[in-house]
Amino acid sequence: MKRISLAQIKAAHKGRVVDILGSTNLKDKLMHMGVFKGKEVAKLSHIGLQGPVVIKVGRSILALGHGVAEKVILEQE
Amino acid sequence: MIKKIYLIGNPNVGKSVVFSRLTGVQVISSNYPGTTVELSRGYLTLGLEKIEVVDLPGTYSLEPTSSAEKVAVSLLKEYHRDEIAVISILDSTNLERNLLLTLQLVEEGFPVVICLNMCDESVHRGVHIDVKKLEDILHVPVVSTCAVTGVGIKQLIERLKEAKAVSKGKLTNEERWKEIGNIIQQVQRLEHRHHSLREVLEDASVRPLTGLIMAAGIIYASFKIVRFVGEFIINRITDPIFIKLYQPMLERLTFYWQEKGFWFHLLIGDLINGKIDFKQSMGVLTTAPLY
Repeated sequence: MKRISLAQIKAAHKGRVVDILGSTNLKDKLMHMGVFKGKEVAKLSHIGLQGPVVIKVGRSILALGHGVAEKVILEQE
Repeated sequence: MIKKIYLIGNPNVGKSVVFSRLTGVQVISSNYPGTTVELSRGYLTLGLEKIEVVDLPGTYSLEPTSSAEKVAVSLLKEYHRDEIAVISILDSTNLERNLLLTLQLVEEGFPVVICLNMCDESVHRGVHIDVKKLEDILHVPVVSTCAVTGVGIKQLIERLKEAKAVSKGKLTNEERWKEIGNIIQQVQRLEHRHHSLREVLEDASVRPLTGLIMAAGIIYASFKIVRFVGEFIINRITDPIFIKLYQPMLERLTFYWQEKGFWFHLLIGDLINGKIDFKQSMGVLTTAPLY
């Protein structure tokens, strides 16, 4: 088990969210879109130079800013 | 008695299209989330009554995180619960994310009718939803629609009367997601589908390499089409008219025109070797149409 942020994880890899390092506001916002502790997410792609990170949660595809992606901590096997 | 109908749902689920279908008011709908930032109002005639329909901006939850969402939520509280009906619009291809808002609405005690929009798209993508079962679980009317083609809109209007508040305990967000997981398991059946050609193309068009190739291909194709159409018009329509009709007509005109004065010079121009030369005569009827 390895803890890694969404910004660092490689594309096409999966992980389970273990922590969101951010304000309650950010946590709420992500929660409303289906990203919360215990949820499995998969990273689809990543635009270089601190560009947005595209993830898949359930059946929906979300794009997160790089800063937000850094705050989402995943646990990878 | 219903006085107002609110349309609420996640961004990009087709609220505005449903609104247009219900009221006949044309609002701009486009394939981007967040197009509706102002409220649109229209009227729906139900029996003898005229009921105001309000199209709210897209919101992910009843706990607002942006100002557009705040507006949407505060408007819901303007009237008494008994006087309104809320149509919760869901994207059937993405039921999981959309159900959060619906659960919140039901818990808050709003009279809700659920509208599963984009039913054509979900069938296409291999998502099957058991409408009856969803209705049994949530105890509110559920209608499957496809607003773009108008399927199910009539049914939606008919079932508006059945909207009533159901009392249900409030949950925390974690519990809600758990509940959503349960509901999804019961009502949704996914059918594995191979990637359709459209999806493959969609993916390819956003990758830099294949995207550029496709862009070049499209530009080349449009150039070819313009050239093909242009050459077709010149060769098959304008040239034959010019040579077979226009030129003989002008030649005859020159032949019968006795007094070659000002008007002759203006219209036909100078004759080169006693004939019209379309490139050098410089008349309004001769050289001008050539260009």
